[in-house]
Amino acid sequence: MLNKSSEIRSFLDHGDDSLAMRRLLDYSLEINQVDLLREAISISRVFHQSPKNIDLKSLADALLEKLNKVAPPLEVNSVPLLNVKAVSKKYSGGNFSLTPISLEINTSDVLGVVGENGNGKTTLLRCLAGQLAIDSGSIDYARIPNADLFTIKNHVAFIPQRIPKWHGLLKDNLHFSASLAGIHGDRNELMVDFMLERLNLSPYSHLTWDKISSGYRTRFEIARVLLFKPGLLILDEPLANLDINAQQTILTDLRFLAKSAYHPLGIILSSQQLHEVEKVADTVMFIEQGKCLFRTGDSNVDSSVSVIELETSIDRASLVASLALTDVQVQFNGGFYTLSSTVLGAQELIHLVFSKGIEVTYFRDITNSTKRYFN
Amino acid sequence: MALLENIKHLLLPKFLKRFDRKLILNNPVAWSARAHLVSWFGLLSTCFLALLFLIIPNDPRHDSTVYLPIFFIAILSVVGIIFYLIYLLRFNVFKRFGAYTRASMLSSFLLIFTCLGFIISQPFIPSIVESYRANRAFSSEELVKDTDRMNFLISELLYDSLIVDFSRDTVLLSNAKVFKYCDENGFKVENFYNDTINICTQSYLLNQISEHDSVLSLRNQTYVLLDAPDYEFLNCDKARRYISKSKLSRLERYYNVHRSFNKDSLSNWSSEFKKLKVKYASNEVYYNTGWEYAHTSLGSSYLDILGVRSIEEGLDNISFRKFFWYDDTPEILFRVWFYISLGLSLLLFIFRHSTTKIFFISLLVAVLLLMLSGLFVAFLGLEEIGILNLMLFYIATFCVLSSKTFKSLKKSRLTGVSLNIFAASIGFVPIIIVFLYYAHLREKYRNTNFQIDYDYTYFAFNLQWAEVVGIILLLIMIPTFLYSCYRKWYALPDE
Repeated sequence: MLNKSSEIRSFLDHGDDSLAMRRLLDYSLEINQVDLLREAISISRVFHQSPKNIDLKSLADALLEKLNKVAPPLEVNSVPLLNVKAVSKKYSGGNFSLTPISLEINTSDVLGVVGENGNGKTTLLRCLAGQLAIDSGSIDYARIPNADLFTIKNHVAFIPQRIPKWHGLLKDNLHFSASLAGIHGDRNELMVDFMLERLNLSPYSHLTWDKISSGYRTRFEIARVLLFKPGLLILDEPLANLDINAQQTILTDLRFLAKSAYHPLGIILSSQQLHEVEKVADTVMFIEQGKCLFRTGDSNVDSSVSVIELETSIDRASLVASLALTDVQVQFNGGFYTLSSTVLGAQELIHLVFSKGIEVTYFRDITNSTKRYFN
Repeated sequence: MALLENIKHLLLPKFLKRFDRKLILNNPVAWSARAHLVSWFGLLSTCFLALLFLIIPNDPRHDSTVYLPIFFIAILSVVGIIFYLIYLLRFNVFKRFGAYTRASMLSSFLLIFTCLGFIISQPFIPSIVESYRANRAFSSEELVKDTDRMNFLISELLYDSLIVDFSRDTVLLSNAKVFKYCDENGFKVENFYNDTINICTQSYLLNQISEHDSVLSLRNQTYVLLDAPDYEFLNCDKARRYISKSKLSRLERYYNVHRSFNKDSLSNWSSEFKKLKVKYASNEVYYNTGWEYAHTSLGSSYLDILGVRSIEEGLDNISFRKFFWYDDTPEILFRVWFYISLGLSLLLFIFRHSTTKIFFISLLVAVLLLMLSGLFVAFLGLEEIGILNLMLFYIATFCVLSSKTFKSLKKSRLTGVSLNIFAASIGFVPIIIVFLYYAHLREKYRNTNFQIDYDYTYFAFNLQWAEVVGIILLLIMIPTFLYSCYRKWYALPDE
């Protein structure tokens, strides 16, 4: 647990106060001492209300001292959560079908499902959440064997892309959700306060659904679902309504929450934000035409081809001319150029581009990214 | 809605806010039913309406003026129900797959029923207050005493115009078989009459003697039944019944009037009568055709001189208000209240445990089924038994289709609709069975032409029991069959 403490101190030393505060809250929750969690929440409140007038470092240090004195929580052991075998689905009224897909999710795992629109990401997620009937295959929720569907749906939380409207005050909804999960009394108040601070939602908690932006709606929905303490969290395009900073924050938060010692959970999320998802996901699946085309870590990935994407100020003809007589293949998808080579490694490819004097405004190695499958 | 929220917070006392907080933190099922808020606002509304109708002038002697307010309160109650429904849509433990036990489902239904019952009871308040005010203004003893006194005073004040002769009715005792015939319903009726003289059996004669004031035996087997003229011009039989005070007989009144007559007392009696008239007369007199024939012992024009018609109207109005909540009226009104509350509770219960789409499809199916059944019944010429059997057949079919949910792998519209209609109708099965039983009895009687033990009072008694059993059956089915079915069906994946 010293690592976590050091990690927080490191964030503080480098001025990453917001991240440090979030991790301090996580650490307090994992230690699971009510008074220490309350203290962390009150520090967070002051920090969010007037971040410039607070000596966060000394307050955090004091709290960390207390947290470190308490027996650390047990290390999280990853246990099987979901075992999906050859699940397929065909809609009766359409041409689309999901061809057999198998996957496994353990606690603390984050699985990213990526793919272009209309290729079956949402269908797969809805099947996994028990919302859509599957045609063949099996879905085994390992943590709740022999459970009925109602219990399974209690265990699996699904956040759709279009979140249904909440009624009443946002905070009441969070209390209600915590209460549904069996968190009662003072603990309920504490956990709602924690979640509001953790996701920085406190200033909006007294509002109603219509008075917050779609980005905050997503965050409130995540808070509500997390209070419900699901074993498996499935999110369909959670980043769609978020700005770039919020996307980063939510993704890192989801990763932290998945690996939390307090309540480790498995997370499956679909998104178009490939690079952001790839940064936090343990595994990324690329789905095209209802078929799993690529999965990070799979042995069938063609690693013999190095691929980079780049943006340049020169035109296509000049670029192709510059790279003539090399093994490099150039493709253009309307936004980026994709350069691939079976001879050169990614680093060598980048070096080649610069050595040819090509003016590069952006580049990224996507050899091991699902991005290479997007045309 | 924001305005309503502000009003809500203004009217909520601190203890209720604390209670609300406690409920949301500890008992989401009870909190989401909003019973505590409905109870509080219902109580406020009840107090306000009761106070309002206690303050508003309302003379019990005059015609009731509460019908229009009742109409408006009923409209407000409908608005209240709509708001309650909107509030109920907000939070649903079942649809969030929360901790929802069998007891949760039952308590949820009971809480919704209680809330709706509270809202639906509001239009009854003006009538209750009016009745209370009438009872406060006039006691039953007072009414009986004053009515008897006024009858006496009317007789004395119009003494010269009173009919004094006894009426007579001649009957002939017959040992012969009394003529019988069947009425239009097939019941056998004894007929004692011919064109000129009444012919009767011995038992009938004895019965008649007990009911008439006097009897005269003219010759063997011929009797004259005599009745004194009735000097009762005003009556308050309801009040008399509730204080269990018997009134003087027709004959006693007759003798009392004639023996007490004293010309010297007339002026005192007149002033006494005027005082009583002021006390009881209504200022709204409606002329009805029966008035002229109502008092054969004294012409109506004489009674008009004393203004008896207005007193009678006043007494009727007082009695109507005083005893509105007695006799059969409360039972009828209770049924109205109960079945409206139950019907809406069932609809809400179904809505909260089904998807919105299937709920509305269920309503549509129910209406279509009703129309098609109507055509079916008309074409086949089905009567009561056929219709009732058809209803039982429908319920049994929906029960079977509902139970298919347990083996379903997908959320089916058919099982969803069947489950909804079954949930709505199961409580009425005992009532249908009782109707069916009595329909069979009537059919049997009609076919065999024998008198059977068919008693309407007994039917009413059995019907009441069937209603109670129906509710018990519903309350048993909710945490058992319906709970299991809805839990399974709602969690099933879509097709």
